Amino acid sequence: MKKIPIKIFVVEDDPIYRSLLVHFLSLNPDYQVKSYENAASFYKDLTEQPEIITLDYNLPDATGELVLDKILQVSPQSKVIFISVKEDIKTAINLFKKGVHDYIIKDEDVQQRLWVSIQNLKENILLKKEVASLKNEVEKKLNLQHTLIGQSEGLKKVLDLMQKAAQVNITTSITGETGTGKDLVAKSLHNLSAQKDHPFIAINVAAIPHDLLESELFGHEKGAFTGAASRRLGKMEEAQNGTLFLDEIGDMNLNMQAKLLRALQEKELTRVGGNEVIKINVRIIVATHRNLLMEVKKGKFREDLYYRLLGLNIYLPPLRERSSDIILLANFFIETFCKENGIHKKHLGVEAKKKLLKYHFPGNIRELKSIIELACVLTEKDEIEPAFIQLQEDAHSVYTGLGHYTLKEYNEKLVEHYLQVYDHDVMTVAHKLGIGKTTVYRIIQRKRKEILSK
Amino acid sequence: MSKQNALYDLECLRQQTGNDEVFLHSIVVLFIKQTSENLAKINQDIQIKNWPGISFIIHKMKSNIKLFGIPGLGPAIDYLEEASSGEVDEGKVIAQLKNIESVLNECIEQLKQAFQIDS
Repeated sequence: MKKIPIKIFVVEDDPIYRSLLVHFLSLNPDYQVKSYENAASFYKDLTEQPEIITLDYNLPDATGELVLDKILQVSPQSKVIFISVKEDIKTAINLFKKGVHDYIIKDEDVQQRLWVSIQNLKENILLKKEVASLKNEVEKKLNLQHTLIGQSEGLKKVLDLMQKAAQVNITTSITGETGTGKDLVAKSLHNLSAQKDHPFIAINVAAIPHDLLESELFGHEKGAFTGAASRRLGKMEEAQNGTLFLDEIGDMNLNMQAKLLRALQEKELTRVGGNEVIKINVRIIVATHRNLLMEVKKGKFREDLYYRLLGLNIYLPPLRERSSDIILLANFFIETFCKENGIHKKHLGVEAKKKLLKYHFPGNIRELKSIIELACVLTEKDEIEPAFIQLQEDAHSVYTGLGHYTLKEYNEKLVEHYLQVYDHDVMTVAHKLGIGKTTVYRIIQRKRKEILSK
Repeated sequence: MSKQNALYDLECLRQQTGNDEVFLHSIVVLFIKQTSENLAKINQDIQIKNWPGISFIIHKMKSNIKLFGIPGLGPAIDYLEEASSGEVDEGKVIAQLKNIESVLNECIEQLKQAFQIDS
């Protein structure tokens, strides 16, 4: 593993001592040394969060105590070693009480004492850096492994876009059918991003009644409405400096869309029933299974909010467009399920694989997972046989049972299936099938009549 | 110049620079420049009786005087560091400062010769 240098800042106004300390410390290749002649120039770089700071107690523009307060505020994990001309026990005790690591007198032993002091810190710092680095690498690998299993071209494109999105703070929209893993991609994106050490807050817009969404998102003050017994922070405030994932954004009503747009534009919000304006710094990821542009055309989604949220779009292809990934995913689900439930690891038989590959998976990865988990439970042998791969026959038959239907029936089944997949959105279904919306309505009406006559 | 007549002792500095002659030379140049500037500032501060300012400069010079092994200035420096607070005996302060200035100027000349540094 690549060795990570320890960053040391030397803050010393005396050019002779500054040169000596920098020269001495730079002899060690483990140290990356930067020096500053006054507090003002040092403050500018303090956000770089050095591991160690050697600090002269008497700087021309600030006292040692003042500089220490600033360090504790901006970079509290930095270890501070004071270097002073004067041996002042009272000052030293006060500094130690504040958490200073060492207090060294500028005399003939200064380098030796500094070497010992840094050496004591070094092992701990290097260990922490290595753990953090390894954790980071493992997290990245695990995240991508758990969300993006497969080798298909569609998936490679998703992975590439995720890496790009993670490197900058850009609003990201994730689109794709139900069950394609939009929520997992959002979480992974957060974990790959610079916001990863801050909260990831997810909210499913479709699951929250319209009347409560504003309070859920922006929070409320005590007494803002009946039942608001105390102040409550909203999801947007909870996500401060982190990521807010708005799932099923297409289900948000127009009134709430206006409020969200204002909050995103102004980067501030006001809690329901409150006057205080709260600044927000949140990365936004949105997801929807709807065609938002279509919703804009229908007047159900604000155009300005649409363009505000679109940002970098990651389209998750449905599983039927990733057929080369089906078996890989199935094997992953078998392994995970067997491991989590302490059962002997099973494998898919040739015929079971063929059965899976023929299926269309209207419920996408979520459906594949439940099919596989059920098969693991039902199968007593090590090999999973096709009989235990239980598919939704209706949906299945649309694609595989051509021989059982007339052309008219087949057309109806196909339209029914697409209506189910696209949440009964007639315009989208008509568009996808390349037919007129009147045809779709006619089929719906005929089915209704059939049901009513039964 | 014989070692006996030198007003400085660079043993400590040599240790601190790891006997790196080039680096040692650069530190000596820095010391000459820094000390000359500080003495000039002190003389300006004497004119305007800025005793706290003088005390601050002396405090800063203390570590370098030690580093360059310049003996005999310790009591004068300690006195001047404290002289800014309370009542200032101007005559005594100026006398001590002139003593320090004289020793340091002589020291600078010796260092220039020893390290062949032009003025």
